[in-house]
Amino acid sequence: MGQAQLEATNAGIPHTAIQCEHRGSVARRMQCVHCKGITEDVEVDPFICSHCGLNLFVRDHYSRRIAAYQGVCIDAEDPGNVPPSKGIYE
Amino acid sequence: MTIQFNDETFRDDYSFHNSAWAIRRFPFPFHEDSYMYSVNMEQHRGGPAGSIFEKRFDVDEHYLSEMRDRAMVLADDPLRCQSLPHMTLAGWDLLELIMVSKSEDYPELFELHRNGNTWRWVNKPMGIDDTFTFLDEATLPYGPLEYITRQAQGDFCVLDQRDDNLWMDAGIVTTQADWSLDFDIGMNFFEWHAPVPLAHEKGVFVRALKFLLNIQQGSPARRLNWTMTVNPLLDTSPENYHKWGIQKTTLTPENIGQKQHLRVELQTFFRLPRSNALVFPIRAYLCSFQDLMTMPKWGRRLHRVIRDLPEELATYKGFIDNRTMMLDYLSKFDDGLPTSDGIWPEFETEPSLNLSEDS
Amino acid sequence: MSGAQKIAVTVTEIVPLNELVTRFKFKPTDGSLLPTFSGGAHTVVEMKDGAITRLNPYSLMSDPMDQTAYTISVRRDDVGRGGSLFLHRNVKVGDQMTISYPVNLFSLDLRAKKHLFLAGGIGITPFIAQIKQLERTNGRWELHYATRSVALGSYVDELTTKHPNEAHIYYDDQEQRIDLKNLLDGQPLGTHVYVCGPKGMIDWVRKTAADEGWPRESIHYEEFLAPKSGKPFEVKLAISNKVIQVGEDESLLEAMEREGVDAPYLCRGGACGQCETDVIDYRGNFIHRDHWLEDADHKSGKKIMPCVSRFEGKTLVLDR
Repeated sequence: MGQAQLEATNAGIPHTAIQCEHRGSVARRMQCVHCKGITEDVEVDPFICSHCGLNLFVRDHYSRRIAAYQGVCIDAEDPGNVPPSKGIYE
Repeated sequence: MTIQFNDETFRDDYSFHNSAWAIRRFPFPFHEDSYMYSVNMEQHRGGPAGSIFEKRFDVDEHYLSEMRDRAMVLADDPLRCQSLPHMTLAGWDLLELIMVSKSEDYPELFELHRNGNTWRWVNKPMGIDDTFTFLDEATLPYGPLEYITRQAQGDFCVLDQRDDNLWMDAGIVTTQADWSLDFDIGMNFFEWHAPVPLAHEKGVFVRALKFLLNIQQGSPARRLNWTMTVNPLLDTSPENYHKWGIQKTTLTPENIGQKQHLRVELQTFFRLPRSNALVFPIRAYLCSFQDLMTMPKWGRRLHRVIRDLPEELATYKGFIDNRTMMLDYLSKFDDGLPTSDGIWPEFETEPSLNLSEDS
Repeated sequence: MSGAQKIAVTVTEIVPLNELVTRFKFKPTDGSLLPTFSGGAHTVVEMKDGAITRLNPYSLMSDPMDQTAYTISVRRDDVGRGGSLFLHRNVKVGDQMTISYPVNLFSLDLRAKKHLFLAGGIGITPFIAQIKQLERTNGRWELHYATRSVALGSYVDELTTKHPNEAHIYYDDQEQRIDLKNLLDGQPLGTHVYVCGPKGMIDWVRKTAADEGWPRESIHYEEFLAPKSGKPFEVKLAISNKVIQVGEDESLLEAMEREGVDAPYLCRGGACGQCETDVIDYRGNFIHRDHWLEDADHKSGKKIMPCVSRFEGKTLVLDR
């Protein structure tokens, strides 16, 4: 939905004029803030960035422009200490 | 006024240091012995002589080293400076604002000569002498926003004003307290503040936005914000967090005075004339705990503020894990004596530390 | 901090354009440069009319890049409270006046792929500045300007000569009307609509656009509400510790100012929110005339916008 919305807003439609109705998977499109790579269909938190391999935690912070949520390194302050993954909405 | 510019680093060997002058004028942000969010705005119209509030854009001893560090950050990650296409006019507005302000406030350091749209800008400390055509991007080595902010301390967010909201549509962000311009660009005021705890419930952002929307040409405003940083690292970006986050764990009771820094942001707000945008400069000042403790009032107060700060705030500001160690250190400088209202150190009138008292 | 920064100016030109409209030119008295501004901005002109000080907003018509002078056009309003009459009758070339820094509550959306301007009568003024701004940057625009008659069509010649393709004129007395529905229908995606004119015209454009499915964010409007007169009423100011009488022909804001209370204001037209005042106590009815407060606020009796709204009843106590 986010990517479709982005096409519409780039063409000139204000995002508030676009009605979205969510169906199906609640998996998130995630952007790794460190390498900027996108990891699709993320359902667990934390997860591994599919580009740079860092362990990332799932933030609720969302960018319409990138059509993705933000992922940030979870074990920067204690490398290797990564909690077991749970579903994002658990 | 002559400034002796430091040659120092904000990374690797961290040779950053504050002179006695810099410590005395440091913007200690707490006017009382506790802290909670408030809109805390005031007019940005001068301040006590020599203070960081006096000039429109404060230049201090760290100027050249900060600009060098900025250039390194940008070389590594060009996405730290971005401008959506409709914001170029605002970029020119900002260039004009900074050039006019600095050449008027520091005539011995900066000069601006204007002949119609042919402008000549001289930045003596940085050895720059450029002639260009105002409003013609082709005559500058970078876009106007990037050009001028490579020569001005602090981050700059340029906000488009539309639909009774502010939109982060351009900026340069290399000295931030842990947020990403590349991620946030295009967001509105509430969206980019979404991660901040507690403030939303208190309606702080609704009131703050109303105030900001009504800032007019010729009437800038300012406020202070603060956080903590281990080591005088300016680039505490989320982008590099996987590299610098670990530094928080290197604090020990022996090195905390020297390594733990209070990081204060002077945030100013100027209406830009031709674009009607709002520019939001965020200027970070750093001071180590041990330097802060040389001012008895600040020593007493900082202990009390950190001790009584709600846990969510200490967590959001990133120092919850080190709080106990910080308090162990700071409590030595708190003898329980009362402190005067206001942020100024008042070292002439505040009693020096009475260490023989039980605290 | 009330209103925007002030500028001392001298009136250098007064040009009557027709029966109703006169153009005024201001230059800074001390010879300095005026601030630049963005098209759509207005300035608040201070007029000392005997014991009364009037503050009226007027759109800036001059080129936003021209820092030597500001130009405004004023439509004479014979039944108004006197601000425009004062300018038409009492001001001469050479007079010194005080105006405010430019304030823009009607700016262009610079992301727009095209700007569609709809002007009614004296509402043409902000568009003249915006057109000059867009011409410099090759922006796409179109103007549809409804005016009473050829005689009263201010700036029609100038606009149609310079911009024969973009400027379209409609004369009321010739039964010419803007074909709004079709006009909106034909616009490319990304067009923004701007309307400035009488209240009726603004309401009509907003409603038609909404009915046609245009997003709210793409429609921009500016209307300077002149504070309407009303029955006099008494107000108690809790902080200033005064009891004041608001006269028939002055607004609550003007009454407070007359009594020496430094109440905040900006647009003085009920649109910007700056003068919002808390109500401590009241017994009576509010006459809300602003565009700023939500309906819930209007009904709550807890807030009032003194620049345009009034009150009738026994008691009104304000937090000023």
